[in-house]
Amino acid sequence: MNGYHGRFLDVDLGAQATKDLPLPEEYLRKYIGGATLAAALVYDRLPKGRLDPLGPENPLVFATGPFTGSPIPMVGRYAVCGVSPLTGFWGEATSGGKFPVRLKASGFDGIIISGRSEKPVYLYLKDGRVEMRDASRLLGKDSYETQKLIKDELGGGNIAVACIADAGERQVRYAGVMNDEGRAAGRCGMGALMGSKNLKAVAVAGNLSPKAADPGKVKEHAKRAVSEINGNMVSVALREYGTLMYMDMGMILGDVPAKYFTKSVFPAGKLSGQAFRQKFTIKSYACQGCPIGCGRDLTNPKQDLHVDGPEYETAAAFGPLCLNTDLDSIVAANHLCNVHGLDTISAGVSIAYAFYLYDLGVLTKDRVGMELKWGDGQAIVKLLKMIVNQEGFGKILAKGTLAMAREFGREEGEAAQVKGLEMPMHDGRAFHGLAISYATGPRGACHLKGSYYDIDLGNMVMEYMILPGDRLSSDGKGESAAKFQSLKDLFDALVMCKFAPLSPTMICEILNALTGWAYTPDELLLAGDRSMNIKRAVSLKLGLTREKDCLPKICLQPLDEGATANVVPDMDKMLRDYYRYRGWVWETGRPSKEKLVELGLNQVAKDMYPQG
Amino acid sequence: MHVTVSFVGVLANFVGAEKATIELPEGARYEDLLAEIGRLFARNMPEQLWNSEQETFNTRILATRDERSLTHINDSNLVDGDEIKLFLMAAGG
Repeated sequence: MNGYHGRFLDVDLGAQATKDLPLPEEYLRKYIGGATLAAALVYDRLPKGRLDPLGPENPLVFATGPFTGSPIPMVGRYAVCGVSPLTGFWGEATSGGKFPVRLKASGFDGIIISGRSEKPVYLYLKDGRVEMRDASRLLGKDSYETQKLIKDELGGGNIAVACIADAGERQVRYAGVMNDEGRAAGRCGMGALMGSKNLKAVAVAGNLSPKAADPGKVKEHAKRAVSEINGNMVSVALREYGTLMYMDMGMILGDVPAKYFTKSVFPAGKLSGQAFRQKFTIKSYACQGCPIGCGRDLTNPKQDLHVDGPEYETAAAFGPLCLNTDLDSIVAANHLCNVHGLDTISAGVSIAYAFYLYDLGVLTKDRVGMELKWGDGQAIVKLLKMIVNQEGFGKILAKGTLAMAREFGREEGEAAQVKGLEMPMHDGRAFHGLAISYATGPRGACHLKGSYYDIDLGNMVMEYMILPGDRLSSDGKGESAAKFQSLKDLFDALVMCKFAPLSPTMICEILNALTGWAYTPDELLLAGDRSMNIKRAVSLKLGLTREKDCLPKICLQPLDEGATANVVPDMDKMLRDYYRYRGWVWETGRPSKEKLVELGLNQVAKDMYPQG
Repeated sequence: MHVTVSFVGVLANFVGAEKATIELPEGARYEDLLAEIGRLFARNMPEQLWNSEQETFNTRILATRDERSLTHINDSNLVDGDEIKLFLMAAGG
């Protein structure tokens, strides 16, 4: 088999046993890899009836894809998946660095883990072998310490580690999995799932690379891709300013939410990539094989500071969303999240919701344990510590906005989330195609599967006729957002960075050179549609209905100023359009039987329509 | 006639200016504006951004009068007093 090892490691932590899980080539061709392959594996293992996402029967998957470890640029990524402890539905997160490449080089395409270990353990995979090692002495250690201690214990060298920190051990619902120091597979609480299994870390090393079907062509494509990436102005901007380059431009477009989604106007220049550059010394950090390096490594000798710098999402969540312009507190909040392993988006949105409720008088100083005033950066840092330690008011903050709304007797539409996953830092009122992508995202509110702002800012995908349009119009957006979502969903199957400016045609050429297959752009889109549907099937098994395909009320209220004043997306219109494209049944939210069969999801069709 | 151009966000850093007022002949179009932008700022701009031979941007730049609609202006005549905003088509994070 080319492009893959053709096997996963299958771990039963309860029995302390491991075995090979062979993956036939046809199965891989169908589900490709990464989060899509993980969804297919999880679907097959889900028990009938209710599932406790923190129970031993919830499988946790680490998955690479066919691109991982190849010479193609911007593919040093992996996916961590399972049923989300935050949402109760399908959950996935991806991250980049050296870890993904070394996971693939360990001789496995991925790992599926079930059960719960009695004692804390970590897994060590190397050259096709595995050890389950005692992690007792690592309990309570933060993510940086954990990675270092494991590397030291294993003798250093080319070892990479993905781990949880104390937030994951305490099962904070949005705890992430950390790798390569401060890189995070942050979303959906995969760190909590890992913590529930008493699995502290996965360490990987090795020198086993799968063969490519046509190594010469792969090399050619890699060269061409590097040249396209380096010749791209967006790459230059990302290298120079990181994802923070978007802050001031996004605010002009009304795309950066402020004051817990009730405003879109904020002095964003104070938090721009340029502002960070003026205050801190910044070096760029690149995932393995990436010529861009959008990650930030940030120092300030005056403060004796050397930390991983915040991404746009993080700076927006702890910045405008909380009306905070204090760079130091944003850097401190980001660092705390990295050290303790927290998703910065869910943490920031939950904290902003606390500010909002305090402002309304729903929360009081007695209840919170401190005063909460919009823009108080020190309060943000204190609340984060309370979340990590599950201390006082931090206990409820640690469960996310939906649980907060329920706890405080507020309507659920006030919680800024979709299906329980907190809204990212792009506003659906600024790009209606984004709004429908949020409402239908396979993991809930996800800007990465449906970054439709890319399209309505003028980019296009010619193969699928996804063309720019009026960003504030809902006409025709359902179908084109669905297609774009399917394409972006595939990036997490391959697994490839969302910033890679590669067309579907080029993606097919690379995939075919690696695997020897003959994928066409049309087939690729079909695979994306299949991917969206297998993830949907997991969530439907867990009780998802069409009513959950919506945006919360707070994110649909018209704003009174800024570029998007008084415009809100027509969600019903777009959702009907979206359902038509997907072949989903309006009444039930399920894919039709015909659609499932068309996508080759015959077993799902049988399960979903047992009467025939 | 005079046209004011704003280089929005990160684009300003690569052009070396946030705003410029540019004098153009009556009936000038977007391509004439681009030629003037090149004359004034080409020396600051990286090759990924500016194509000096063709006097145009090397990357997709959105030029609009209205950040609300983001309608591209490149087919229309410019008029005196126009305020054009230029965006690098990129969204982070």
